[in-house]
Amino acid sequence: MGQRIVIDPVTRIEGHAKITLLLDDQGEVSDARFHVVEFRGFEKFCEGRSFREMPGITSRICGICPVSHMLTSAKAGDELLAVEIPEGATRLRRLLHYGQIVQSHALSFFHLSSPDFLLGHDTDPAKRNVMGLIAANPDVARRGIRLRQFGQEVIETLSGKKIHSTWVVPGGVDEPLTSAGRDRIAAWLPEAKETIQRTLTFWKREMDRHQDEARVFGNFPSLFMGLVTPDGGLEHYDGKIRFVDATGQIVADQLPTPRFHEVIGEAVEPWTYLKFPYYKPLGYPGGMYRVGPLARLNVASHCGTPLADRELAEFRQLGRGAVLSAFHYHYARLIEILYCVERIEEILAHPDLLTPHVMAFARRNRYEGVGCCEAPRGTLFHHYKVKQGGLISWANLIIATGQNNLAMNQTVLQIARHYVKGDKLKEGMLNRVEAGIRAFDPCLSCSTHAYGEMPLRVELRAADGALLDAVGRGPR
Amino acid sequence: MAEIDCPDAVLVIAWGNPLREDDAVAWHVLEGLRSLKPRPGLPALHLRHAHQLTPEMAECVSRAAGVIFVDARRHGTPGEVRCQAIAPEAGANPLAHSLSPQALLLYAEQLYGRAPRAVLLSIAGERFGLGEAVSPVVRRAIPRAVRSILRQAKAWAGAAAETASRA
Repeated sequence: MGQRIVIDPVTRIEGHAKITLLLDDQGEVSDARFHVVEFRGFEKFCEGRSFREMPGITSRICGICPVSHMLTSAKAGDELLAVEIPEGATRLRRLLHYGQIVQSHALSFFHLSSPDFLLGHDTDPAKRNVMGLIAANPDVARRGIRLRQFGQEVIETLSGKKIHSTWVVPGGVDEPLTSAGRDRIAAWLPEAKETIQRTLTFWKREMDRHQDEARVFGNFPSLFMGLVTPDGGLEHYDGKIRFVDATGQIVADQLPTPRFHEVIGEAVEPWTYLKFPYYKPLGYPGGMYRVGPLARLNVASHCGTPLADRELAEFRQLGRGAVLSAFHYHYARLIEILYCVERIEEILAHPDLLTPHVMAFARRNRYEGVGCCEAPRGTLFHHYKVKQGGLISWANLIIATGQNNLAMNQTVLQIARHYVKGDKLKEGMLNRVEAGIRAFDPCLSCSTHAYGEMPLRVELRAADGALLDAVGRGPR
Repeated sequence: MAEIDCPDAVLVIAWGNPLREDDAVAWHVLEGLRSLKPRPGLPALHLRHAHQLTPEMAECVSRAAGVIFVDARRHGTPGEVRCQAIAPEAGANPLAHSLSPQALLLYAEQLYGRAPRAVLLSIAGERFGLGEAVSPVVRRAIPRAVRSILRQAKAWAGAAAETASRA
């Protein structure tokens, strides 16, 4: 008779999650399911709203990556207007986006995941948190906060608010940047660059201690997807779709984002509200692909900034084709922070940065539009259809966390097979399953639009459904 | 090093998801405070709204004269306003993308050397579905919450003045 284990809730991820581990008759883990139990009905909620309101509305889905939703929604709006926005607006949108990636990645690395690395996966959970980190290394904790503050300052300087701004609109942005704003952002740059370079140096030394995790935390072949520039470089704001396989070979390239549905299908399973996007040519579930920092560095031929390019060359040494282990999402995140800091510096030096021409004015000229950008956690699509008058008649949001759903399930399965022995759940296994999921930095607020804090529960079950053991963490 | 702008006043931090009905009530309370006309005796408040509490708020918290956290809560009679003193504490889930107010106070204390006095003012919600409207019973509680915040800030200001005069 097979058995089942459930982990519920996963702490330090945004939203609510439950993990079920199924054992076979021999007591080996045969399957793992990462359930998202919060219902997502957001697309319905958008119907009847003007597409011009959508950037402001969708930015309220999440407190961590509101800028990504706002930008992607505004880009879908640009498509509905059928305008090319002024270069000055594109520059400011990019600046905003880089600030957002810095703050989000800094939160993930310094505050959610670094306690695992610095304090160890077997440390008592009561101590394996940021307070333990502060006690062990207050400088790292403080620098992490400052780096996140830098990203937030970029966002606030540009948009007037740290969250839920309505500065980005279809057609451009509401206000140009002032010289005082430019100087305020520039004042942070030396510290931000030093912090991320020191952190990269630290991380490259630290990785040696985590060979075991790197071997079993989502280390399997899959496709990777991300946006690239016309010459195949790293791209976060614009660009076209590229897929590479586990060997690093390009399997699809330069696909315009409005045609994403030609290659991406969405499957559903009865045990979770989170959908399962897959690469259509390989079918479901064989078309599993990953998005986010690791995927972006795997698909990009180069970064296009000097310091990040040097780091990318070292990063590539981790794999013979694509870098496969989800554990290296952390490393990729740090390289992306460095890249964003370099790009911010570059944009601030642009001679036409303060141009007042930041908006293209038009009426709706199309009935359907797709917006896309690389959110911190991966490629984000907003697809809208509108009626006469510009009211939304249909909306579909394809979220990064959803696109990593198949890979997160596979990661849980791999970790559980390695660490679960017998019919009892041990703390070290639970920590590692959680840490494996955290490597993806899933945002279930985005994928389900949840409110409040949401806990995790893990259940171990026999094949006949009998509950053998259960552990939980976080608020109930 | 770039400086953070943190006024030395009573800091009011209101948070919640404005797309989840009553979860947004704290934002409405903040709007109530913003709409007050200046008058003698009105305490100085530094108002801040957020989707959730995050680590970078700790520096401003550490410099505030006092902090009033405002949030919706899931339990209790809808519309009930409750105000309780809170202290630094790691809590059960201190490292989610969002922090608890107690954990934020602990960040302030551990990283910046000071956790000011703080209260959590919570309003029991009725509905937490998708929507931008706050339920009528919760909306009626907003003026009570505003008055409660003003009372608390005045009490702190009075206590501070008394301490200063003794010194």
